[in-house]
Amino acid sequence: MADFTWPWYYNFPPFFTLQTNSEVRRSQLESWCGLVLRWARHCNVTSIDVASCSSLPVFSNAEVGRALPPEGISVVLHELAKRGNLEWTDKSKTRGQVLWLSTGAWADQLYRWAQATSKVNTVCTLYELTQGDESTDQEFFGLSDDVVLKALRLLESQGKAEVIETPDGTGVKFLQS
Amino acid sequence: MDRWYWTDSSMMPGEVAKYSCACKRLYDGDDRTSYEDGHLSITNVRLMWKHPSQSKSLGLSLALVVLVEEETGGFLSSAKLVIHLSPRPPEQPDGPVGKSSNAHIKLAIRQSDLQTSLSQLQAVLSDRAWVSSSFRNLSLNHPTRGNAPKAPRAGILGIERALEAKQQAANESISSAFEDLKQLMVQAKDMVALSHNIAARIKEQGHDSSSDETTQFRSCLLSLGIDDPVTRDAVGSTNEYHKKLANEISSALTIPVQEAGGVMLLSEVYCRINRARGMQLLSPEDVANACSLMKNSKYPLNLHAFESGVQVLQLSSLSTAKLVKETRDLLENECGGRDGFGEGRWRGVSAGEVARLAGLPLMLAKERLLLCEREGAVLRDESNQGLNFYPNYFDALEA
Repeated sequence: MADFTWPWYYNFPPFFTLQTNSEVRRSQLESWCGLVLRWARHCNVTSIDVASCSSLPVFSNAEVGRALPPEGISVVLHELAKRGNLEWTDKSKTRGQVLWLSTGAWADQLYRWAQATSKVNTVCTLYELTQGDESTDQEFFGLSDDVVLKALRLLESQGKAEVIETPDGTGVKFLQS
Repeated sequence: MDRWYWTDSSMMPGEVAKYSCACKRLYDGDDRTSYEDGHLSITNVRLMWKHPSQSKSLGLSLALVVLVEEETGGFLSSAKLVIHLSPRPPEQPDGPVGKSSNAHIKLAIRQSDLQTSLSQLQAVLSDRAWVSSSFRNLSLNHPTRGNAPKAPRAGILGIERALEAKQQAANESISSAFEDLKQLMVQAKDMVALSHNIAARIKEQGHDSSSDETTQFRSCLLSLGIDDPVTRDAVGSTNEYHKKLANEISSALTIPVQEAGGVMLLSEVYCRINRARGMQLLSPEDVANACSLMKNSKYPLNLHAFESGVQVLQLSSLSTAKLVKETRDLLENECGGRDGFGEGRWRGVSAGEVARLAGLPLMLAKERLLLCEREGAVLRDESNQGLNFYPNYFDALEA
């Protein structure tokens, strides 16, 4: 996997200090969210633990000697959660699942792929979706099962798919909408 | 032995008996004397020796004592205190011995009294009670002579008179001090007039003499200040006084403020205006009140309070936008442009550096940076190296 190319502002020291000017801060947070998501997608990071966040390379740049302080990290994570790119997996908000696309966007992609590969009205396993030969060029290739399942459940509620639980694993049947 | 003097057996005022014991014999140096079977008293200022059959005592001022030693007794000799003495002072009253070659005396006392008397004696010696003013005259005085200066009449009347005399003396010294000051002020007016004359003459002479000395002299004369300062006495109401002061401050300080870059701390305003007035000094309160009137555009200078509470006078022509732009330009120069100083590196600038580069007081430099931050022109960078500032390049950020 190629190294993640950091944007110029990753080397700009004030980027690692939360700005006090509200307008400046808004654009700064926006950049932070974008950077974290792009980085997470590149490195296939799906879950984040608040306690160990500060050791992630995205939040600290040893080269310029700057790191986003814990308060800053928490502000960024909450902003991500507000945008639906992060879902807390526990009530105390110490662990979260990173969704570099929202559940709805994943669902769209899955359904479009199913249509494109004539999978409508057939049953697929989750393994086929995320590890199968036909989806290697898809963004959800290698995606964790629970994210995919969440997207499928959404499709199910829209009447576009039916999730089938079998003892061997979980499958899905895409339906004609 | 010639340091002993005759005295009656009463205590002097302020004198306190500390210890007493039987004293078998006095020695002049190592020689026995006939003064035996007496009684020794140690007070806080002297030693007294009295024979029971006599009404008079022998006294010895402790001020003369140099050193005290003990001499333990033996089978045939008694215990003794050995006291080394400084020479006999001339004003000392008569004693039993006119002249003695010995610089020490001995007191024979009981062995059991030796330790206590020695420690008591050393205690009063280290207290040095005779040094205090009440004893300075008394320590050697023979009460029977009666030549001590008479104390002023005691009682309430005496105290009142003493107070009155003191007050009068204080008044005299104060008024004589102010006499000098008044004269100085009268002459200062003449001096100011003279200096204006000279300044005018120099101006008339034109620019031909442009040597440094002349220029300096001229600028000294021209900055001599305000020749007719506004005073509270000259103006009736306090309100009017402050208004006139505001006029005076704005006319006197506009040029210095311009030279200082358009902004001046109120503390410096206070110093400068008092420097310009010379004698009729203003209180900080009056300056602050006068400056607080300078808020509308009527005055060339305006009072401006930063959020931190720091107050400054600034030119009313000074615009925030211009200040912000100047500071931002300065930062861009120091920190590096949008691409940084090569390899995408930037350098932060602290308030101290800005103060040095822009020739501002530190407090003003910081306020200016914070102002720029509020305006969104600069960014802060808090790290373990302190608070630094960078120009705001976030407009090029991407989501």
